[in-house]
Amino acid sequence: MASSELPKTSGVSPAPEPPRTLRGLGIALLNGWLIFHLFAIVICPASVEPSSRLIQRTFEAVAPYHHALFLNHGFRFFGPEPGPSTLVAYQLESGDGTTKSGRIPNRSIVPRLYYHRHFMLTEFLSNGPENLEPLVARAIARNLCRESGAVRVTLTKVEHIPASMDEIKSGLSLNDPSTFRETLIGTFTPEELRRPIVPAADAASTNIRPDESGSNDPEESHER
Amino acid sequence: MSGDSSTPVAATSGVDQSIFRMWTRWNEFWFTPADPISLGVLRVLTGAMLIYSTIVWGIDLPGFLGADGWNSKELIEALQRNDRTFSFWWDVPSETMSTVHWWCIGILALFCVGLCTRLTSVAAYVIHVSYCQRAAVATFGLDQILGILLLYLAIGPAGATCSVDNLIRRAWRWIRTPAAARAALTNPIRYSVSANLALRLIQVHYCVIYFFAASGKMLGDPWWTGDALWLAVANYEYQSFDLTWLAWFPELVQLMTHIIIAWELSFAYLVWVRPLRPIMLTVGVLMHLGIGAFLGMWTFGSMMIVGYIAFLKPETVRWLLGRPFRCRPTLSGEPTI
Repeated sequence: MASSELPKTSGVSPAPEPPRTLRGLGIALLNGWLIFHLFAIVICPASVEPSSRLIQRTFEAVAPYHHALFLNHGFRFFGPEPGPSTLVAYQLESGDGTTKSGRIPNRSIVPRLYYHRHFMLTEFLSNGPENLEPLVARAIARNLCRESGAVRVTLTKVEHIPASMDEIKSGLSLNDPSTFRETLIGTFTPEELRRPIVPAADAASTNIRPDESGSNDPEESHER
Repeated sequence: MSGDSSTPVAATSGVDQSIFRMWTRWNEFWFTPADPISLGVLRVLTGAMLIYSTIVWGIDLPGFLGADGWNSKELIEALQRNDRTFSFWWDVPSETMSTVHWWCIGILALFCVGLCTRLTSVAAYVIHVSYCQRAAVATFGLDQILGILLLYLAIGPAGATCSVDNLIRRAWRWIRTPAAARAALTNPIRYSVSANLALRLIQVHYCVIYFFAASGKMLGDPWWTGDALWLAVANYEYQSFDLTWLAWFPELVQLMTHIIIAWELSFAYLVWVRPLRPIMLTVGVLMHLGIGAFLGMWTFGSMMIVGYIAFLKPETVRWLLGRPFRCRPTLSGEPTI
């Protein structure tokens, strides 16, 4: 680092110095933490797949530090490639037989940050750990039932594929029906949702990688 | 904390000298006392965004934080089963959620204005982490960068400048100073090792973010073929402005894609080259403004830009703030606020 960019030291008011041994211990501890912290913030994104078993094992060793400080991020914004969006279409059935349908996220909700948080929820269906998909779907169904008082909710996963440049030039719109792919998730009732389900046997042993735990950023999720 | 000047450099071997130089530079880099003005500005802007983000959580507290909400208890417990995560929201009964939420916003407001900042900076960090760890499935890049900035603001003296704490400190000094001597009263910059440590940690963390953002992109073909930017702007769910006219200018899309990759990949190195730093930061500002304006993530984009304050010279920050905070040398040569 160029010395010219070092902060100036003038104006420092001298403070009483602690005993030399205590100061030395403090310096050693501070440097030790600093080296560990720098190592930790590098090893976490480095452990996102594809990565070596060595890096992944090292990450596992320091993972409690990341999780406690909310530093478990992979920073793969729009990497390895910006992919399709995942939305959820729903149909609610109320006690009197009427139905209501909609889609999450709803583009008309404001503010944008509120919309974006809903978008993260549905993106997690595609980008989160596969064995948690049923729980994500149940959480969405549970919230819809709670909000609306519906007696039955049917969820459909909707993949929205970006149109290519050639398709746009030939007149296709970004919202053309041909750009959507739908997959039925299932139908849920409040009674069924109240019963706990046991996640897939491997859920407990799944090692959730950075950004699959504690953070859900679709821009960085397609590498999973 | 600089190296021991009594070390007989001449008598040591080349290896010893190299190690000594490295140690000295390490100390200079991390532990040279710095002007905390940048941390003060970062605190105000980060605090303001944090308040906004927390208010947005509050639009649907039972949905985001409730046991039967989007982030249901069973989902988050399964997601964090092996993790040592923390959130006080697990212990908040549903009937008191709103009260706790508004208390949190009150504490964040104190942090933003810089009152009892040593306490409120740690509290703000705990509050933010608690929301994010409980509503883990609804978080994204904004929450990550807020968490990173808050962590380092809690380490450094974030309330030393641009704060109510500082006003109280100055008022107290003014009251205690005899009336005749008040005209000569100055406010020396309180250079601090922890201010430098916090700013350096933000700088290094930004380098890590951009390096891994670039290396992750390089695994995908569209970033090599130049189509990646198109895939982002053609994503209807992100889009806030229609950029489909870019389909008629594929070379422009490819050029911008290549610039993004080259910039992200080189940021960690070139931002330390003093003459190139303004260019690196300017490109970053433009990129994040673009993400904010066209992909609808202005909160994330603006917070990434806010973090660039850590890369500015303190004098530049004071100059940007204008006269009330501008550094003026006194007759004694001591800089003043």
